[in-house]
Amino acid sequence: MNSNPEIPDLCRQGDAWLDGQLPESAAAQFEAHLFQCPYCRSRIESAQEFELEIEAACRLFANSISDTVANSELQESQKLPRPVRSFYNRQAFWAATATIAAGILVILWLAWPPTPAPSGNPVQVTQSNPESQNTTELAKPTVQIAFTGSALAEPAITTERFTFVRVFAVTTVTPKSTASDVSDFQ
Amino acid sequence: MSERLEEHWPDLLRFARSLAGNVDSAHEIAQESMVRALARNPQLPEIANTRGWLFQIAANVCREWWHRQARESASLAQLVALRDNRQQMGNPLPPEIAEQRERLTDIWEFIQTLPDIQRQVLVKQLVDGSSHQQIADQLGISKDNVKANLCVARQKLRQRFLKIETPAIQQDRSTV
Repeated sequence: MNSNPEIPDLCRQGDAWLDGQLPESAAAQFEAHLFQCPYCRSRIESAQEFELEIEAACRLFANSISDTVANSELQESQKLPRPVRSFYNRQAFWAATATIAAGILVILWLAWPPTPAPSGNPVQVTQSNPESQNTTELAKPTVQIAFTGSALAEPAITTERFTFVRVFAVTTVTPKSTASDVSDFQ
Repeated sequence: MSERLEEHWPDLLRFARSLAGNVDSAHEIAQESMVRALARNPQLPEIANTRGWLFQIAANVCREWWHRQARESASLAQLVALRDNRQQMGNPLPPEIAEQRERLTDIWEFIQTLPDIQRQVLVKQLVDGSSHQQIADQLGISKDNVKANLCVARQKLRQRFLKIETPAIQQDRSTV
């Protein structure tokens, strides 16, 4: 109706007035116009009767809203069939995710700057036990291995971890590697 | 109790007219609906939406009335068929009733073609009598969205089913 050029502007506001979309002042203006315009009156009356017809159709043919919603959901499910995801697929998905995550962790661990490897040659220091001097038993000498230039570091642990990580990485990330490859890292 | 029902009588009569398509049948349907509603008087305080409940009774009465009309029409048609020595053919409903029923069916079929959200807000408001806020909560959308969808749905229905006439009287006035 609104696209018809023969209809005056005020008469075009009938639909908006029916739907309660007009502001208060515009609604009052249209209601005043309604008393004078038989076209708008008949139009509004027929629209109100039609509103009842819509309600009648809905009440007659829609048993309940839940049926309508269920029908629409059914139609949607028919349009887009949900992908069947089996238990095996889910397991495979999680296994792949875990493998990738483990790989990332290993790479990060390898990329982390390790403790500097001990430098210098090990020196064996032999020290006599002073308490054993008062006893008749032979004193057992205490043996310490120290590295020159890095006496406070923990060389043994660091080297072991580094070696273990390398071996783990080679055996897990590149499963086709041979024992000789592993020995190269050691 | 009955006063609560009586205040809906004018609306019920108009609704019955939209169901039946003529005033005489509308009176019959509205009266039958009111009788049934009054017979269920003890249930009335529990019903929040009395108007919707009454209208639903009227819709059920109308369905039965259609069947009754069809039976009576069919028996009449059978008599005519016997007289004319021919088989009964076609729709047994009287033409006027059949026309209104067809119109309501067309409206419902058009509602079915609306987008899901528009159809749901329309049916929820008309059948369940839900407010805009209730519909918004149920569908998980905003209240403004509900209003907009209702407007669009109604406009589509009006454009499809309401006849467009130019305001000839007003044009005549303006030319004088």
